[in-house]
Amino acid sequence: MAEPIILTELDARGVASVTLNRVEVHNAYNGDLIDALSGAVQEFAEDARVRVLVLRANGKHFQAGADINWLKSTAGFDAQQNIDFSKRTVDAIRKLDEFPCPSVALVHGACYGGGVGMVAACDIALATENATFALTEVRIGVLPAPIAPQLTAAIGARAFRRYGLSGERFDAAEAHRIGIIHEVCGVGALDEAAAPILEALLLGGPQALAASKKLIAEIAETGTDDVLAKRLTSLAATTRVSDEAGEGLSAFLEKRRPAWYRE
Amino acid sequence: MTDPLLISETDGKGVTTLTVNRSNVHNAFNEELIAALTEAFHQIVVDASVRVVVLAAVGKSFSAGADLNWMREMAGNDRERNVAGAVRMAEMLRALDCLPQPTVARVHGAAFAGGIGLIGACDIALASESVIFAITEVRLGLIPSVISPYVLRAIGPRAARRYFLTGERFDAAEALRLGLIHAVAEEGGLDELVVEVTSVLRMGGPKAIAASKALVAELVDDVGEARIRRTAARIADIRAGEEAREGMESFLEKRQPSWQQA
Repeated sequence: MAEPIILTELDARGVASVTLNRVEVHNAYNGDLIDALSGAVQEFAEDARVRVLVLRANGKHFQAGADINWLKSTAGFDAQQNIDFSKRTVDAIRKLDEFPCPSVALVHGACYGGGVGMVAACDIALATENATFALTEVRIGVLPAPIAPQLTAAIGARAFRRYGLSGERFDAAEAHRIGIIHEVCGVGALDEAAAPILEALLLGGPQALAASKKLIAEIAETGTDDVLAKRLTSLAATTRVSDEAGEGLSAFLEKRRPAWYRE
Repeated sequence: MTDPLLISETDGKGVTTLTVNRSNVHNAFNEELIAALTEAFHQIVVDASVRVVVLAAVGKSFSAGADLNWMREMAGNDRERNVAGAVRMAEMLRALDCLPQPTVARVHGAAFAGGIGLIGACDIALASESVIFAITEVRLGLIPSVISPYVLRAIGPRAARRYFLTGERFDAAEALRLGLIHAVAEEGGLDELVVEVTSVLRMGGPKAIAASKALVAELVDDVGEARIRRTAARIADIRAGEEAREGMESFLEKRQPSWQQA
């Protein structure tokens, strides 16, 4: 029997863990991963024993980009399937962002595209010093629309304008400087670095913590409402079926430069 | 006669220093201190001879935040009076935030919870290198509500999601990195740094400075009356709840709150 692509665990203190576990493809995301993540987050959100959520990944990388086989299949999606997939992504990221308890992302290795959004949707993020980040969407002609609200809240419009447009890789030190990562630690030291933060989170009143999260979203105006979610879904879906994205995806799969790039 | 809770001194150059003087409780806010600060800000608004305002405090700490006894008293009131108390705290911060003169927070020792709000509502914040900061409300089952517009404006939502939720202490270097303070002084050098900054502020045209402040508020983030009402209602409701009562009670009784017991 195959191992589940998302592993979950809940300890006696109320620390719930969600672990990405598609190790053979570096936790690349596809429809199944998104659905499993969404389901696990939802289940913990409804579990009164949970006090803190930890999001982490098995294998060499946190999340090294989109699944190539899945990318191929999306090329054949009809309009409704396409909208449906974008909606599942938007909803999953939003569920994580609105998780009622504090959430902590532990990042190692590569964290690209949607993975950056998952990290931004957690309240607190720690990364190993060798972690690398990139918003690679534009390189294949698509948009980071489903993760845009969380990214803007985490790194601000200024940094988003650079990294969202350039698709450049940046390292853990830069991720710390632009704010998405709160602490950088040595390789293999994520648990040790997270321990005092988890301990601190467990000291807060559970209702006060939930109310503080809502307060930040409301006062900083960083939340996502249904209108925005619908708009992001439609943006992501329509861009994905555009000619440009078609060319970007083909070029990516054929390991060649897209037509818009002039040598 | 008791000492005044707030000492106001103006030098010959138009620099008014407001010094909070409740050192026996680490300058914690209660009804009287909130009223004294509000009154001082209202006087400064209409006093054109004041060119720069420095907000300082005596004793070991800049501010420990709200006085827990006052908080509990508010929590025990009926909702209307509870909300009104929170509105007075929120309006004090708003009066500071809206002063037409440039404001400088002189931060020493420790700044916790509501004290971080005072810092966020000042234009410029200067701290000694040994200052300890913390947004500790959740540890008592409370939320950093009326201060949140000013603190969020200073440090942004990302840092807030860490420090509002963990209540961790952080040092002056981290506060500088987050943007909560603008400069750090070596031990013993804080007053010198304050003079340096207030001297520079006196060089600007008073009307231009007031207009620049208004411009930033308009374009970036005016806190506004709606947020005053909303954040005041939120803290009023939270502190009247069971969790906050247990949080405040356990703190005063020096025991762990129920949610921390294994």
